[in-house]
Amino acid sequence: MRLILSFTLISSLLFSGSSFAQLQSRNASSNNANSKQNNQEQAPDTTKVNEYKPKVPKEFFIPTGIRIGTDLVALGIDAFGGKRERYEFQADIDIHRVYVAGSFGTSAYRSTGEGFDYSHEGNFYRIGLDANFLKYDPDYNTFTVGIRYATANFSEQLNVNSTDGVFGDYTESFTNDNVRARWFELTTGLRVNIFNNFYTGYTFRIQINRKIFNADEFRSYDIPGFGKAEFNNRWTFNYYLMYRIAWKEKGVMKRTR
Amino acid sequence: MNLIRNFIIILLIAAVIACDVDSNCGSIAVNYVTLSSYTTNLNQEESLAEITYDSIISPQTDSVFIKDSTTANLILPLDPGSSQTDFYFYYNEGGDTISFTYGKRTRVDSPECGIDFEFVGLDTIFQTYDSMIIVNDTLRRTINAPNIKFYINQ
Repeated sequence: MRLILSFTLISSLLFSGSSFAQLQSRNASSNNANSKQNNQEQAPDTTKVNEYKPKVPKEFFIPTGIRIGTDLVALGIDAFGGKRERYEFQADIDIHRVYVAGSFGTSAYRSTGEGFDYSHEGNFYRIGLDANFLKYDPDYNTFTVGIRYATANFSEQLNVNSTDGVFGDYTESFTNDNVRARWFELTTGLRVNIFNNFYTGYTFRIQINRKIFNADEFRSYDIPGFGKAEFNNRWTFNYYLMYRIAWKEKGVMKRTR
Repeated sequence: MNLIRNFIIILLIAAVIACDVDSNCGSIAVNYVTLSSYTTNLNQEESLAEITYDSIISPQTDSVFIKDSTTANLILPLDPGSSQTDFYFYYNEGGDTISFTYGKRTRVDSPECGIDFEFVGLDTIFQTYDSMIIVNDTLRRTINAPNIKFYINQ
């Protein structure tokens, strides 16, 4: 599983790298063309670099629509996993090249093993910003990097039914009510328009600096939206299907030639 | 473009950090308390003192932990289903009692490895030895010193 996700990460980074290289080379060639023209028309000034930065119209910063969607990985786990029931919804609103993104999810998890029965139930949400680097795309496809603040609220129960070699059988029940966890995420994601206003794409998340509060009776085992609580840092992957509800035509920067 | 390159480098570093190692059923927690018996000389220098036990038992189990044995170091298991374990020490000339109390930190290791307990806050609510010191109140495999030192007159 890790191999597949590593491959996906590397391939996406390569894809993004090649995209930027392409954009850079295009910009460079257009800059070269501009500078050649300038050199011919104006008096030669070798110390000044003539950089043309197109001014972004103010109306570009007015949100033009909201993309809402669901995580297909969570639905797949629900259908085939058996242990976990998770639903996750994501939405983002554009402010020119910055997207305000948020997601909300619910999770119910049950795991039985050698002498124990564990379950949790709760919800989680994430909120943050994404920066889009595909500024010339007329289909509003996005390649983003971003940050998130995430928090989860849940209750968990642990029933122990075990046998000690000396003292014999014993049974215990532990409950952690109103547990809260929080962490931060560094994200990178791609959204591609597939038809009409439908978009699909992934978000790769590196989850860091996890903290747990109010887990008094036993150590938390699994956190909604995060996963195994024994890790302070981990990574995860979502694949979204999204629909864009537009209330205004989105302006796209024109490429300068 | 430098911003993007820096962010991708940060992302890769964070990805490496985020790849924590999965559990392999290893635990440093143990379910037994270690005790060593000492005697002191006139200069208050302590030395291990072997004691001959007829038996060591706990009323919470039928097991006999030691029978007709001479030793200075003891390993006694604690009851994971209770917050207190009592031990009776019998010798030729009488006996002693220790009642240990403790807390537990419970965690799920994995479905395969099961539950892991860490005994913490080891204390005594009753004991009949001349003097006793709790050296380590958390039961861990990695601690070399005994959890309990008790002193006898020889």
